[in-house]
Amino acid sequence: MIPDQRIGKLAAARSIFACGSGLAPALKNYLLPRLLPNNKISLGEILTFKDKEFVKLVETGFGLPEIPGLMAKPFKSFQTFQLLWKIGKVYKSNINQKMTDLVLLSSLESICTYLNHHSKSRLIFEDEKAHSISIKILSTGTQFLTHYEGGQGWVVKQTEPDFRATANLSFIDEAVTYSACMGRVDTWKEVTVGHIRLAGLIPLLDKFGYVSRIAQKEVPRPR
Amino acid sequence: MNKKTQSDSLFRRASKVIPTGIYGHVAPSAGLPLDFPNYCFSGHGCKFEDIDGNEWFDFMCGFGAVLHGYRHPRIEASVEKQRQLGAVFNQPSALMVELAEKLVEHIDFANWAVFAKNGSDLTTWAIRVAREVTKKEFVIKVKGAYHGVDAWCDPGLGGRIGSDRSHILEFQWNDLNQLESLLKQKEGNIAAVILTPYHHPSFSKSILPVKEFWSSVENLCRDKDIKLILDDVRCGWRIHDDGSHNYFGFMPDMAIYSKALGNGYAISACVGSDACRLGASEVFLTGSCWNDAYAMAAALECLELSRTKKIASSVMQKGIFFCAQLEGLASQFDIPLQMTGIPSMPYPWIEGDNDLYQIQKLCKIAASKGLYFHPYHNWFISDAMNDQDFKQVLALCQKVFEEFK
Repeated sequence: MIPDQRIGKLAAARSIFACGSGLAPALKNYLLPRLLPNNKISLGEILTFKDKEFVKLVETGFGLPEIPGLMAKPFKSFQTFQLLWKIGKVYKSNINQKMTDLVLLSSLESICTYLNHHSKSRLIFEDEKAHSISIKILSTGTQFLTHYEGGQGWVVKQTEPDFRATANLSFIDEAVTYSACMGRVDTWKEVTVGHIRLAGLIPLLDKFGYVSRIAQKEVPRPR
Repeated sequence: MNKKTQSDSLFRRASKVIPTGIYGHVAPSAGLPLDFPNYCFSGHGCKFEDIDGNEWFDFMCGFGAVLHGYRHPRIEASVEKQRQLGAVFNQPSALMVELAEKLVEHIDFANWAVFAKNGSDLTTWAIRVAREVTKKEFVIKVKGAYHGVDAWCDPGLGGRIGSDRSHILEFQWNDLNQLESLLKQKEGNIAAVILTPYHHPSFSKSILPVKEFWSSVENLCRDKDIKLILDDVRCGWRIHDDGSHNYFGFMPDMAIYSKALGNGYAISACVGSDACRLGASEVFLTGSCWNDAYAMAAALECLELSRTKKIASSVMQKGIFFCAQLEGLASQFDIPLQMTGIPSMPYPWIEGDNDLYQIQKLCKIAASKGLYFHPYHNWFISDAMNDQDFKQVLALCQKVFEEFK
């Protein structure tokens, strides 16, 4: 069991991992996160941070890693840093389809981390394992699916499922998607004015929304 | 699609000063946000007008609060009479006594009555009375049943701590074995079983009690000195004019009413038997505006109307007619629509539509024709709806089903 107070950090790390996988699928394991004892977190085999430094990395773009890992494999270290730099750039670029796809994927990965590990969120989703949620950006047609997979827990995939998801969450365009992912929208307002649309099993989306807001409060993100 | 300019503009203002803009069961996100109005302007009979001027045939009746129709002349006249005198004073008005007497006279098991504003105020109070009377701790309810906004029972997710529900146990509606097993599990420490007359959850079809359900529950409670509390907030005066327990043939120890009791004027009542009187005297109960004489005047007139005009039977007959017509019409289009629950407050369910997409589509089309059909909540038949209204509604439904297919 992961203590609840570290789940935000794990979610941020999973979100970086997801973004990295989207940007450079061949290098995805370079950022595969692991929570370590003594309040440390590793990204792949190269980077290990104290939790505090990791949060700085996410929020400001720079955090001090532990040196020995870097020295052992300098080329891999370089590639890892390059990938991290590209991920940082995603959040600073102008809003476009590729960028919002990556930001949405990262956000959903972070929510899935909560669904899998955070005690209250797990409890809320305990009876929902047979269900799935489709998340779409209407202006671009991008579609993700969040569902439960035995052995892996809640996962997110960019896919158009060959079945109808139990519930649909749609963002009207990239700008709304980005703002929602960054926690800059009033969800209830956006739903009412039609910028965010809900269909299917609404109580499932209520729960998903609640967990996503817990994650938004707790997960460090670029300032 | 209906015009929503004013509605959306007002909502944008609201969202700056009211968390979520509109909250609770009337939150736009809990209905059809793009199709239903956010704000209403006026109501008359079985119709209301939203703030953009769209007129709706209303099948929600203020979520059940309005039974006799909007602005019923007799009810409004009673309230108007009291309005000349005042609403809230240092002490209650004489209407409080009259109303308590009327409830005790109408409701067979009732020896006393108390008043508040919302169903929640008194469901929570009643379980405390049961605890006071029995000196026991646990309360049993049905999973998915709504009893109000307090932490022991609310359907939301926020603001709760583990201990809020540590003394609340749940069973599935109609599952008497499960209920008995809970009773055994906490033998000697169950204060109350709180139930609605039948199961009317949101987002799911309504379920009537199986034949032996109420007699078994009543017997189990009597045998084990457990107080049986009837939450008749939603059904009260829509199923039977003297309390829904009469329709299902059982006798609770306490019952809570609200909604239709005041036809839109905020009032709730809890009635109880003598066995609970001392407990009721010991558990603190108050609210600054709970003695509101306008609402009590409205409630007195509503009770009189229900009794003399047999309103429960009237809305039941109207519901039976409407549900049968609607189901028949739907079947002509091969739409497996079932109106579940009690016909005076039916819940629409399309067979196989467990994830609710079909009912959402149906209610969206209905909204475009001025029919306020809620996709996730039981509907309410207004007693103000007459044959001509039903004729118009069913003609519109014909168009809805054509478009739906």
